[in-house]
Amino acid sequence: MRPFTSGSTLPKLIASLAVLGAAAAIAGLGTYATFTSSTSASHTIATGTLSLTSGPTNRLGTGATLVAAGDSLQRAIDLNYAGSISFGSATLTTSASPSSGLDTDATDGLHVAIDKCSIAWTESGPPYTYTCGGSTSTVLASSPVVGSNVALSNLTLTAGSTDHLRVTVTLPGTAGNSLQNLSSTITYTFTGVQRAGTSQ
Amino acid sequence: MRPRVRHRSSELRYPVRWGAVLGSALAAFVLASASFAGLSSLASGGPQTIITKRIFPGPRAVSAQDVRDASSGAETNKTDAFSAADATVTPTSTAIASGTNRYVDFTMNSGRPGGLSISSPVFNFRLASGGGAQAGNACFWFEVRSGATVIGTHGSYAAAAGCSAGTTQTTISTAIAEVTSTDQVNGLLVRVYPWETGTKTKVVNVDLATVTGSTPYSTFTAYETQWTDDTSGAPTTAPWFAAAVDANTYTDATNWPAAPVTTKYLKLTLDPGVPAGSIVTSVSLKNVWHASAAVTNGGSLCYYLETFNGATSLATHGSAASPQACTASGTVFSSDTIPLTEVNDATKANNLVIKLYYWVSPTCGGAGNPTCVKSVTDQAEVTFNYYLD
Repeated sequence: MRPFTSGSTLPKLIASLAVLGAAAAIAGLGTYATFTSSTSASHTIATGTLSLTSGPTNRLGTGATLVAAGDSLQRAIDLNYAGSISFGSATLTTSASPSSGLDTDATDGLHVAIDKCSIAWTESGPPYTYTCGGSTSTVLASSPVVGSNVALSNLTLTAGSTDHLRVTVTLPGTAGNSLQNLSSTITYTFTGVQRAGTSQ
Repeated sequence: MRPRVRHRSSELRYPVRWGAVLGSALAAFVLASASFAGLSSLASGGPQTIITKRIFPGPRAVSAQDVRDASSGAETNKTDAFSAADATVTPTSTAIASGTNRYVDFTMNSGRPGGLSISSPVFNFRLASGGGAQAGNACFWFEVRSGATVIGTHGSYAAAAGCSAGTTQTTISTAIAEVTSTDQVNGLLVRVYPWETGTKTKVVNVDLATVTGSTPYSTFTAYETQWTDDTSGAPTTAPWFAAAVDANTYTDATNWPAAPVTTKYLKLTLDPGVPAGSIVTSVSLKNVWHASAAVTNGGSLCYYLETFNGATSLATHGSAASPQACTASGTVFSSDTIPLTEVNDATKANNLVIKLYYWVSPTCGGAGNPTCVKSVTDQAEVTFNYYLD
């Protein structure tokens, strides 16, 4: 047998089948035409809302100068959950611009840790330090200061509630002289994600 | 049959491939949609700027490079021979001609904070022919070594880095741009290949070997803590006595008196190069010493010390009535670390002079009295703790 080639039997066959199919469809319309009646119902589906905001406490915009190896800085921030849908989880993404060895050195560079107080932190300073009159829990164990979608733990996540967080940024005591006289600017983004879907 | 089968297979291959590609894309889209689907909300904090100190806190130890011995009541200069351009020169152990590939090494001290950039680094070398009949000039070329690595070569036997004329000491300062940080200057090794051009080869007298330069915050001079002479082909090493606890010591010239006298002392001068504006948090002297011989008849060799800001007295540590330390041993070193709290800023640190007043207590000399002895010093080092905001 000869192989199929353009302009050979296969295209012609396809075209023929298309013509036959169209004719059959038109004939079918005529064949099944009759009286009909219908009824209808409708419902409205509205999505909920989800809102994560910071404040009134938010000291994360306060930087620090003259930091030496072994130094740390504490800054408080409140996270407020609102909306008609509960949160399922929250993550932290941090970035640095301008960047330096302080944020690119994952071992000896800046590290961040977050803990939570069950009530508002009591602030003193500056330099700011915080004490908790309630109970504390770890939200984020010490990690390199720049990270993407880092999971946070022990948050309330309930709409209408507030988590009181203390962010501690540390330059490890192992930081060497190459980290002298450097500057990094860190931006923190907390992301709250809705709870898992349920039957409604 | 074979050609047709191959052709059909080829024709089907393209739709199959496109199907695979589209299917994969669709699957990825579905998965991605599932992953990222859902409501989310963001809250932000910052920007938060964090700036570190210009110089981190830390200890920087410097040995006394300038030592004056006034045990006799008159100062004699016992300064490190390579630290200054003066009349104190050190000859190579062997007469040395061009092309021998024999060298002298200078290892520099480590008294500067690490991690600082360096500008205008220079190796200063002062030399002259040992002179004599048919003597010529003294010439040299050198290598700069950081760790075990040669980071720069300056000159050669064919093109000297510098020469002096005859026996006239001449300082040749050569830029060593390959040295870019204090991490390299600290412990830097300069290997000098000297030679004498006379028709009858002579020794080379070396007067000075230092590295100078600037950090962003101060100028500095790095002094040698050890030199090795390989001009004979059998290297001999001579550490500077004050730099480390080792077998190299300094014995003062004259027995110490039976009571402290302010005209009889060992005087130590240091050059720590502390940047102006630094916060000096602590300074301490480490003095490692013993008597030149066991002190007999219940006596002991004692000392107290006085610190100066240049010529201005800052404080005394101990006194005739209350020595800083004493020992009767002629063999066992006493290691004293003495806080110098009065040295509390960069100016005082950079101008620090220490006088050690020794005496034999309660007296010495004469029948039945303790023997009069000298002091043997193994290390005289000051540690400066400071930082720069």
